[in-house]
Amino acid sequence: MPSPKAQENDPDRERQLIEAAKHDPRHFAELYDAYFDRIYAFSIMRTRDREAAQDITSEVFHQALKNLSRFEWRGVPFSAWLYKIAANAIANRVTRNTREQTGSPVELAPESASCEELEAIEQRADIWSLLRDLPADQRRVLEMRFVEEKSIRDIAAELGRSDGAVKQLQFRALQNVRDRLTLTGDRHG
Amino acid sequence: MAERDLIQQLDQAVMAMLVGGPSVETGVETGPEVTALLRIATAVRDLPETDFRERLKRDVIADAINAIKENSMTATTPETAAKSWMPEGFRSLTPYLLAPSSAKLMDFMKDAFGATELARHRRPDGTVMHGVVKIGDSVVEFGENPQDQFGARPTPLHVYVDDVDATYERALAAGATSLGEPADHEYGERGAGFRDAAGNHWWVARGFTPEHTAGLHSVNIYLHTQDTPAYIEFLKRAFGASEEMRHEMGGRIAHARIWLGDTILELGEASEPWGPMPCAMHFHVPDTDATYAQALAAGATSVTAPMNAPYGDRFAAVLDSQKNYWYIATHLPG
Repeated sequence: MPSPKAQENDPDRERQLIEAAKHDPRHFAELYDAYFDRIYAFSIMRTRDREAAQDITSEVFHQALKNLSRFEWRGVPFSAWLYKIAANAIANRVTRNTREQTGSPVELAPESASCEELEAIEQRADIWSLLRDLPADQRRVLEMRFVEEKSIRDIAAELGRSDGAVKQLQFRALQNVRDRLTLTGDRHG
Repeated sequence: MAERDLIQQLDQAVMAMLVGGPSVETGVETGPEVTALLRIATAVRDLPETDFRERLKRDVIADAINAIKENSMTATTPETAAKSWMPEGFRSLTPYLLAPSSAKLMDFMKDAFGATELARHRRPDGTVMHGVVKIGDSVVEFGENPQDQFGARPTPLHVYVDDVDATYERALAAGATSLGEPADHEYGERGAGFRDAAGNHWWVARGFTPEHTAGLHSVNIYLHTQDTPAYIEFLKRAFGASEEMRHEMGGRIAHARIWLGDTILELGEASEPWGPMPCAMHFHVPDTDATYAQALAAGATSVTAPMNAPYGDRFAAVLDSQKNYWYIATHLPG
């Protein structure tokens, strides 16, 4: 099965997906799958706030679906259009919040993502994709520790394991992701 | 450094990272191994909440379905385009129940679900060759033929009803065997299950919210599949299917919703006690010959090559890798 990344890097496939979604909006699900990780990564990295990142990601995909008929494929990646919607949503949010708090104008991040930012987004998307293939117990420990921000003790109690076993699972899970990431990197040269 | 020490060092650095900012610089002294793992950890820290991805996807697709409905009066969409190739009242995908006794099955559906009889075609010996009923907003077909090459094929069905408890009671009174008493489920619905005398599994449910059932109809086919990711790819290649969502548990697809034409096919990886239940489906398409060729190219096996059936359909049948029969049909008007 081609990975979302492979789809994004294949302009013909991307064009087909966009045309299919324009014809029948239910096909938008495939575009969503291909770009969700990148848009969420862009949003969380710019806002550093989970709730804001969720709101922005949600806004991006609802807007993109609504305005898909206006998207013209001219060789510009679909992701660039999505990043632009996300950057606008973030700018609106920052402007609104700053005005409410200080009444002063704000300096906004650029609309398009920089090369460093794109690299970090790709890295996150790759890592999150690898996480989905981890053994269930390793993945669950990482979610509890890093997303739910639970202590080792709380995780151990919830899973019925010792503190040491949870720490070991955390270590193994991160090692596993790193090894698979290295393998993927080697394969892609 | 011993692994035990590395594990401990990593945990201290993770703790410092969680307390501090998003940077890899935690202030905790670490060797290259732990530093590399910590870089992974910073990306994991940004991971979306477990169910956010699927929740938002469902919202967005519900939006797409609403957009189609809103445009239905003014635009030509897949929902509203003239479908002369589909018999009136049908949708793209219809369950086709093959039972030892069609008459008994029809009585059961009437008793349990208040099904309305739409058609009954008898053979000279009085048995029902082909029957059609409506349950809620959905058409269900069924047939009986001991000589039929397709044999009896119980089907797993997910049926939305107004009152789960009352339907369950009526079904048991009509001779069904319980597969699960009515209960509220954390995935968003009250549900119960029973098996009829022909072996069909009926999972009756009522969603807690309208969003939960967006896109679904009264009667939905719910396949128990093996190697589900590969099967979904087959559906895409063979029938132009589109995946709406998949929910994974323990590395397996516990539930997926796949659009085939205007209908959602639900499926999940078979696991005990719910093993594979290969069944039969009637799939209406604009061009039977093209779909048949596409299905064979995707790996399906031919059962019946395209032919003009006496009842006015262009018809073909294929068998997929999971032993499900697909009756591909294009209604020929006039």
